Formats: sequence, structure tokens, C-alpha cells
Amino acid sequence: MIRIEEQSMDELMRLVAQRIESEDHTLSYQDERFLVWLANDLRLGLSRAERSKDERDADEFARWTIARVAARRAEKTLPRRELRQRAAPISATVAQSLPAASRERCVTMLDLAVAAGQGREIWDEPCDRWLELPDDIPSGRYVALRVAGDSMAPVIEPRDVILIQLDATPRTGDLIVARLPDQSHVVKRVASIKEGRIELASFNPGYDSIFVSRDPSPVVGTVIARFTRE
Amino acid sequence: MEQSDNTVRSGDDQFAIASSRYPTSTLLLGAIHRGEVGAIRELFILYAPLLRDQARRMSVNPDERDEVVTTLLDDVVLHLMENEITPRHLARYLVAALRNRARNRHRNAKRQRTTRDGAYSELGHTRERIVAECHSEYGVHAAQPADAEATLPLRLAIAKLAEKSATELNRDEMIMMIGIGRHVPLRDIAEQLGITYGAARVRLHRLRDRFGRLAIQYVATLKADERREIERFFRRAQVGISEKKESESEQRVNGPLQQRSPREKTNDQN
Repeated sequence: MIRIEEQSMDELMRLVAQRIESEDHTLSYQDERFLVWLANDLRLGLSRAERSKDERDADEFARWTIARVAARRAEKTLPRRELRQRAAPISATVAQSLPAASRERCVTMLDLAVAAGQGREIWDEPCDRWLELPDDIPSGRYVALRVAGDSMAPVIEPRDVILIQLDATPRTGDLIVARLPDQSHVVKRVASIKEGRIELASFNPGYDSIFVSRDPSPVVGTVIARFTRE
Repeated sequence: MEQSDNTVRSGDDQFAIASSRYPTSTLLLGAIHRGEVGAIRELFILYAPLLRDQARRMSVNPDERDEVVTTLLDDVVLHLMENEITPRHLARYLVAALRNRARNRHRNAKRQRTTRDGAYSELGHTRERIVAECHSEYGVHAAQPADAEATLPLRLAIAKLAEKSATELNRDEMIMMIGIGRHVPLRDIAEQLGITYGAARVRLHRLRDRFGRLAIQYVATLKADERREIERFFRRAQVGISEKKESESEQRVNGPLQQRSPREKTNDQN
């Protein structure tokens, strides 16, 4: 009679079990309790260096994932539209042009980079282009801005035009144009609003979040549409 | 996903996870749905080592494992958030997703190889002919690495025995056997099976008995020369098979499995 030596039995069982596990046998990866135990055991078995690496990777992973999710949501809520613009019939600042442009279902348009001038309000900028308001957008107080920089890529690329609804109250997740303490203007996503501060995040994970005080409100308006660049 | 019934959760499915901030997978998933950065980070910390291990078992290249795991977790979080899905068994859901992805990678790689190889032998409707280079069997053997000859029959033997075990053993026996393969302490296996430590010892004793019989049956089906070959390879793998009387075939419960600490065993394996 053949006999497998008893001290070898466990070793043979291990070899066979590992083989079963490496194949597509359902039990090896479908028992939740086993997998939870294994996940914990593998984590505890990591060296200090491996654990530190995992911590760093987890931070980066969370940041990238949140940015990606937000970008996908924005892609859905802000479909790209065709840019229809015309030369402004009057030579005036944004503030002066608003009523006239509104009467013709147009919106004053200017470069966000230009609006970043030290100590100048967006309203004081001269405006020579008007954006024709799409038919499905109701009349209201709007301004159109041509974006500079890639912090909001891939949702808003450099030189894309965005339509801003003025005086809107932003909520978490909204895209807004905000005025920073250094008087520059930025397009960002509201990541959180708490303890008197607004966290402004970028879609491009290469950019860090900016924190601004809620009072006085830095919000110029909320992005409600984007237009394909020329 | 491999288990379609894994996407609905009832109130009593509360699997504890090793997180102080999110003690159950339900809480963790709820926080992920709300887009909490901390929860997404915790998901990575908790499950990345398990998924890397699964990737290793699914033969994903070592330099690609991190990328495969990160991409998978990223896609899973996106899927969970966009569809508000709450898998009943989160670990199982993640592992199934990884295994699907690994299989697809292997399938694609195989297709690419087939296409590439086909390019050398199939010339369509041209009149060209390929002259095959002939190799003797000796030449093929000589060209293989030194240990290839040694490991192949053993792998085949283990694979056949694994196949036989998978069909013959019941669910609990399989869990116990995989636990042993993983060097899981017997107390944890007992907990996993919902039985006492004493009962687990008895079951382990019976499993050894049953598995031993299966192994012996398998070896007995081999021809004499094949058996000698297998014995030789088993001996190389430090697994002994010998001809002895049936009366001597009793197994001890307290074999090597209980004599070493689990961590020590895990370390040995690694």
C-alpha cells in the first residue's frame, strides 16, 4: 500500500491548496470573511517602508480619484457648446456693457488672464467681444470668460470660454470663478465649505487646493456652460 | 463582475473591517458615495495589499502590479460613486474585479502573441513558402533551463491533484485547505468556518485523512514509471511518498501546522 509520509502531508496540502487558489476555483476568492482576514494579515505583514509607501500612494490615489470623479461629473453637467461671438457694438467696460448686451441676448466676454490685473475688478475691464447666449439659457446676469491655464483640464482647457452666472450662491461641487486675496481670478471647483473657509480644488491633480475665507465672499459667480475654443 | 448577486446589500450584512474610522464596509462605502477623501484613502490602505497579492497569484508581472491595482481601485471607486452601488461583500467584489481584469490582460496578451506568431507562418495567398527549421527533441530539451525539466512534471502532478481535490472535497474542507496553504492559524480558520477550535482540529484530522486518500488514489492511477517520476519530483519538493502497510497510515492532528507561529510561517512562505 502506498503511504504519504505524515510529516509531508501538510506540505503537499499546501502545494495543492496554492495551486487551487491560483486557478479560478471560486472558494479561494469568494469567502468574504477569509478575504477580510487575508487583507488585514497582508497589511500587517508589510514592512515599515512598504507601509509608508502605501500611505503616500493612498494620499495620491485619493486626490487623483476625487479629481477624476469631479471631472467626469462636470463633463456630464457642462456639455460643450459651440462658441458664437461677435464684436461688441459699443466700446465700454464690462459693467457698462451688461444692460446693452443683455437686451440683445448677449454676454460680455473677456480674458480671465486680463482680469487678473492687480487691484482691478472684473467689471472695470474694457470689453470688445460679446458671446451670443444659447437659446436654452434664460436671460439673466452673466459674464463670459476665456480661461487661461490648465488647472481645470481636462474639463476646461486653456482658451475655453465659460459662462458665469453672477450673484449665484455656490454649493459644494459647483464650479465657480473666485477672486483671490491677491486680486487675481481663478476658476475652481468648490471641494468643501466649512468653518468659514471654502476649499477650491482643481481638476488637474497636479495643482493643490486653495483655501479662501467665506467672508467677504470671494465668489464672482458659478460656471453654467462652457464653449469650445476657437 | 463574477457575482451579480453581490451588488445588493441587506441590513444584516455587516462585515467588520480593520478600520477604526469605518468599522464596517457599509460605513466605508457610504463615505465613498459621499466623496469623502478619507474613505477613498482608507479603501486603498485596506485593500491594496490584498489586491497586489491576488495580482501575484494571477501571474501579473511584478512591475505592473501596482499600476493594475491602482487603476482597478480608481475605476471601482468611480463605478461605485457614479452608480451608487453598495456591494454586499466588498473584498469579494474587489477581488472578482481584479481577477476579471487579470484574465482580460492574459487573454489580450495571448491574442497578441497568436497574431504575432501567425505573421511568421501565414502568408495568405502568396506563393511564398516557409522552410521550417528542425530541432531534435534532444536539442529542445538542451535549450530549456536546467530546472524546467524538473518542475514541469511536478506542476502537472500538483495541478491534477488540485483538480481532483477541488471536485472531491466539500466547501468547508476547501476553505480549510486554502487556509492551510495560506498559513492561516487554525484558530482563524475555525472562526472563519464558525466552529470551535476543537472542532477545527477534528476536521483538520479528517481533512488530512481524506486528502491523503485522494493523493494515494491519484498516485495509484499512475503507471509504474510515471509514479517513479512523480516520486522523484515529490522528493525534490520534500514531499515523501513510500510503500508501507495500511495499518501505519494514521495521521497526527498536531502536525507541523500547529508547531510554528503563523507569522513565522507566513514569513517562511514569503
